[in-house]
Amino acid sequence: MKTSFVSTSTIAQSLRYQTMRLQTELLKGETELSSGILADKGVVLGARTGNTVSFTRDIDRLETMKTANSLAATRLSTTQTSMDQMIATGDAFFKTLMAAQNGDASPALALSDAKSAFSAIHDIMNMSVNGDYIFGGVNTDIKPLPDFSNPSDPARQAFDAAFALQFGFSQNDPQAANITGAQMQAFLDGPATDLFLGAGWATLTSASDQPIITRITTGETAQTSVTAHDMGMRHLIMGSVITMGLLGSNVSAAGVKATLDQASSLVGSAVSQIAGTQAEMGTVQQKISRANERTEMQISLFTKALNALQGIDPYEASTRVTNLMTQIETSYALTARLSQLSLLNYLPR
Amino acid sequence: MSLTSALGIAQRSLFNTSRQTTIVSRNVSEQNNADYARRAAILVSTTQGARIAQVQRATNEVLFRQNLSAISSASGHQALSAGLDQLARAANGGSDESSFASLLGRFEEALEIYSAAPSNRNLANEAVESARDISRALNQATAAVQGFRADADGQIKSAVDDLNTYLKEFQSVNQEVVKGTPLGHDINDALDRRDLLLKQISEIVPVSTIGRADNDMMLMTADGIMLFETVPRTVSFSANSTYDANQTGNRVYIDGVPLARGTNAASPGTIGALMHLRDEVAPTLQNQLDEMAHAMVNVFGPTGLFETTPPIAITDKGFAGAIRINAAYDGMTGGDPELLRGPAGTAISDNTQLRDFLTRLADPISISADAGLGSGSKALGAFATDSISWIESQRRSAAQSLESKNALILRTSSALSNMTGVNIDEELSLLLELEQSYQASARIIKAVDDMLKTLMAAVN
Repeated sequence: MKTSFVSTSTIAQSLRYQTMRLQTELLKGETELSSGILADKGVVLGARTGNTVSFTRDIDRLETMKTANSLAATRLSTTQTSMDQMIATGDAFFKTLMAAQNGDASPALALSDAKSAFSAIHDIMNMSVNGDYIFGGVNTDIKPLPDFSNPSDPARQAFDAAFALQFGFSQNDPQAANITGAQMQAFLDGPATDLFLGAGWATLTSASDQPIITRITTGETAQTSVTAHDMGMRHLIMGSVITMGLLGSNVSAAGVKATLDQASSLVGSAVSQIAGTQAEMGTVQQKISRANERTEMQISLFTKALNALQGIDPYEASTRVTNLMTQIETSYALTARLSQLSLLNYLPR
Repeated sequence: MSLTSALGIAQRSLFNTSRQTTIVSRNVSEQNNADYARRAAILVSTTQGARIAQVQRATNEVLFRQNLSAISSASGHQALSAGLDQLARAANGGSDESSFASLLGRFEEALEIYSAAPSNRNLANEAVESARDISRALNQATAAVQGFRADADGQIKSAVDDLNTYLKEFQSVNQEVVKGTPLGHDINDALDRRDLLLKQISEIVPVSTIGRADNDMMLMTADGIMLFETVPRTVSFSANSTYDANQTGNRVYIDGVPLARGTNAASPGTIGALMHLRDEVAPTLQNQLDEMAHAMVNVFGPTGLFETTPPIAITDKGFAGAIRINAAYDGMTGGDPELLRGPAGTAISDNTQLRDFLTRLADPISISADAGLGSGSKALGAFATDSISWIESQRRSAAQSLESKNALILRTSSALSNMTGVNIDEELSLLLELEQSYQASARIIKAVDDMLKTLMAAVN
């Protein structure tokens, strides 16, 4: 007759099972404690596991965007500094031109100042950041501004050729002394304007008129460079080049006066136009820094959400591990004691 | 009613006691055997003393059947859980770092950085390498998924072979039982062996048993296909050693009738679970990989960054196994990664094409219902993370079911063991009683012997 309802193997088996289960939990708890995130995301989160992947991906993406934006921001701040320098050069040149117009300075002074102004503009506009010419538009691999001060440069030769085409002789020809002010004005308003401020500019510069466009957030783009086709710069360049090219040659005094007048009006308006471009670029810089702020906020929101999904509270985890260890020790003690509990120990020997 | 009969009864008692001691010693030796049912001697009284009528084997039909069905469930869910784990690792890597979703994110980052500095050839290279990671991951995932299906076939084949072996053994044991019962032989060991075989068979397919006369047993699968009826039915299966995405797997036939597949919620038996994995989960996963590969080819155009080798129609399955980087963009084989920025002659800092790619990668794609993630249109990134969610949610429900099935099997096997197992202390206390009984019977024999001696002495 069976009177008991417990078999020996059940007692042993259930203790074993519990000990094994506790050990598995302990292992999981240790992993979680040391890594700070769930040991097996899939089993705990199930269908929300995809969310953790998408948050992680978005956070990485936003960080990358911030890095990419810093490249654009560097380019813009270099551009701003360059434009500041151009305005300063333009202001100084303008003063000399005014003095030359009033007769307080000789045309020779105006010529040498034009040469140094152009040299400064040439250096500024051909500045490169990380190997890219910042005023080249999308053609960042070629110098945007040719060297008009070098007589054998093709751009300078194009200017000289335009002069020769208009008058039939070059500016160093003795016949140049007979040029009237009106004739010079016609040349400056016609072919010269066409060459620098019109369609001819594209033949002189290898810069593209397409500025660099950068994605500053996943939905926004911004123009982040100024090209050498900017009107203000072209005015400034024209002012210095006509002064360089026509003063100090055989051109008549009337021609020189017309040139100086035209140059000073060009340089004057150049400075204010460049300031206008600076303001536009300043807006873009602000747009980028606001976009970065928004990106930063998004990153911190996503990080919080990600931690809510897969994060482990270290205090809770360490408490759990300690409890598990206590439970395992208890089950070890029980196993040892129960195995000693047997009728055999009480049978008379 | 004489001294002789007293002697005879005492002798019989000694014999019974020694038989009972054998039974006790058998019980004690099998205390840890989970497949042994406790034996007990049934004594009946006759005029010549007690007699062991039979050695009874402890049974409990209800608990045994419950245990069998728990075993089927647990082993099916075990196979399902292990298989899903394997598929999830194959497609997504250890912590989803080699999943298409993560790699797509990294590719978009590489394109983003390249579009911020398009004149940098190194960044172009990195973007192409990132794309190569994607195509490689898709190829490897496809190979792993199809390899898994071939593995599953191998496992089903070995399970079917085991099943055939068990059924043959079952036949011989059953015959032993059927022959022995009318003759009154001790068939308890054969019954133990038969129960063990039933447990082993139900791990593979869920069985229901029908008892007949003379302890005969008929076996049927849970959906009513006859497995054993005096003779075993043949279970047949032809395994494929390799799989490609267009191949469907063969079914298991019992006597010509195909076995049903398991579904996720009720995957009893190893075979049912493996077939579910091979025929439903793995192909759906493959379809998801194919959709993602299609999307990449569509964004960049048929002659763009991604192409297929060998060329394969976009509607064919296994597209993800054929996707490659177009050699014209591959810097390592003489191609030019800067083609990503545009055809030759594009300005060096012109990122219009790159920005266009980035916009298109974020656009919704149309997805087919075969991929198991709904139909209609969805952004590629969202589709990719949905694919991860899909398999992880299956893993989760399989793991939870497995936990509950394991708890169930622990309870049913404990209950069965408590009813039919051996308790050492009980056996030892029985042994104490038997010892006393043996001493008492020996004492009686001595007493009768003394009395007979007295009689003989009186006569002599």
